[in-house]
Amino acid sequence: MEWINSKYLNKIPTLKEHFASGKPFPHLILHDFFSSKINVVAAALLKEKFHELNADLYQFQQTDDCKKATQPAVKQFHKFFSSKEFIQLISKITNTKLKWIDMSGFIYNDTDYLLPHDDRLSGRKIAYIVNLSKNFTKSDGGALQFFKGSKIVKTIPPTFNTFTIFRVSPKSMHQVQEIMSDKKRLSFAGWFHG
Amino acid sequence: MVEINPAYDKATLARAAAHLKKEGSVQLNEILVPISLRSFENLKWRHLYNPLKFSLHYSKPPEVWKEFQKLVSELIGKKVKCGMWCLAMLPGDYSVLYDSLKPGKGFIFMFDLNSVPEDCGGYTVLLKGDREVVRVVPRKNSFTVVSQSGLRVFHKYLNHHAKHPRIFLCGVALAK
Repeated sequence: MEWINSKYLNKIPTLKEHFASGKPFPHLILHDFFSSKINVVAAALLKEKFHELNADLYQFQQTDDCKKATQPAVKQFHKFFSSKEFIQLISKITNTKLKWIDMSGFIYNDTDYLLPHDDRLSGRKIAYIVNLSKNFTKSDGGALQFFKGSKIVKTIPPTFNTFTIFRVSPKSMHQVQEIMSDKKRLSFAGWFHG
Repeated sequence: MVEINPAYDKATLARAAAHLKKEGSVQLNEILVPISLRSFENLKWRHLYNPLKFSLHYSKPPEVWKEFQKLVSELIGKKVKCGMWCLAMLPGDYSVLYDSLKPGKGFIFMFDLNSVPEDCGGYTVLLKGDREVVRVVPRKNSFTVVSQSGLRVFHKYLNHHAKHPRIFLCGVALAK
């Protein structure tokens, strides 16, 4: 588990409790979750090919699934993230039987956004985001926001090396705020599937 | 007082009606004489918000709607019954496609009060399946009619670069 900040490895029971008690739906926000190797991954991700996606619900750039990554650092990160060992760790924390992951890289530029939705699709159990953007402030936008009904009750700024997971359910309504500056919001995101 | 631009005489409207019939949509620019735009002042807005479907501002339409009903009737060539809403999109407003959104019937029409650059969003998209058929980019004092039979509609998220809200009268016309 050389990819994970060692401070988390002996706290699994606590993480499990925090995940289960997360409001408005089970979630965890883990700051400085990955080891310093993540810096190299972030730089490499920017060299991958991104496709512009623009629809009613979203506007951003996305890579193909990272299993097709061309950059060695991204390939290595994907190999770790999709490993049996890591999936078992997330299974323990979330108390959910998980089997496999998908992963894409994302860039949100000025005016990009993702409107409220709940992520529900067959097989998706746990959603995740690995934030890789630096120096975002509140006024830059780009925060992940959780809803309870029609109210935003939790705002998670896109802080570098923060790993966020949440349970996909009819309650898991969330959005990504519009980017309000020239900064790039860089991340990996996807799902752990059951 | 609401007055249609006298440039839209019988012959011009007949050409517009033929275009609508052939192409499925038509946009008439400078549709009202400028003073008529005042009838949209002092509207009272209410925020309509269902995060999974829309964030829009609504107002009861001003009296001008009767003129537009007549105009639509003339363009379609039939008497129509209309439902009409005065809507405003502020930065952050949108509507999306959702599972229970049914394909449209009849004609959708829009009268826009402000121009909004396309890269700010706020435009209306009509789709057949996943294919975009018509995009209505807000243009000041324009009137757009689209045959929306079988089409689904959304209003693109209006981003923070928009200098003005999109204010428009939006209606659906069904032939009687």
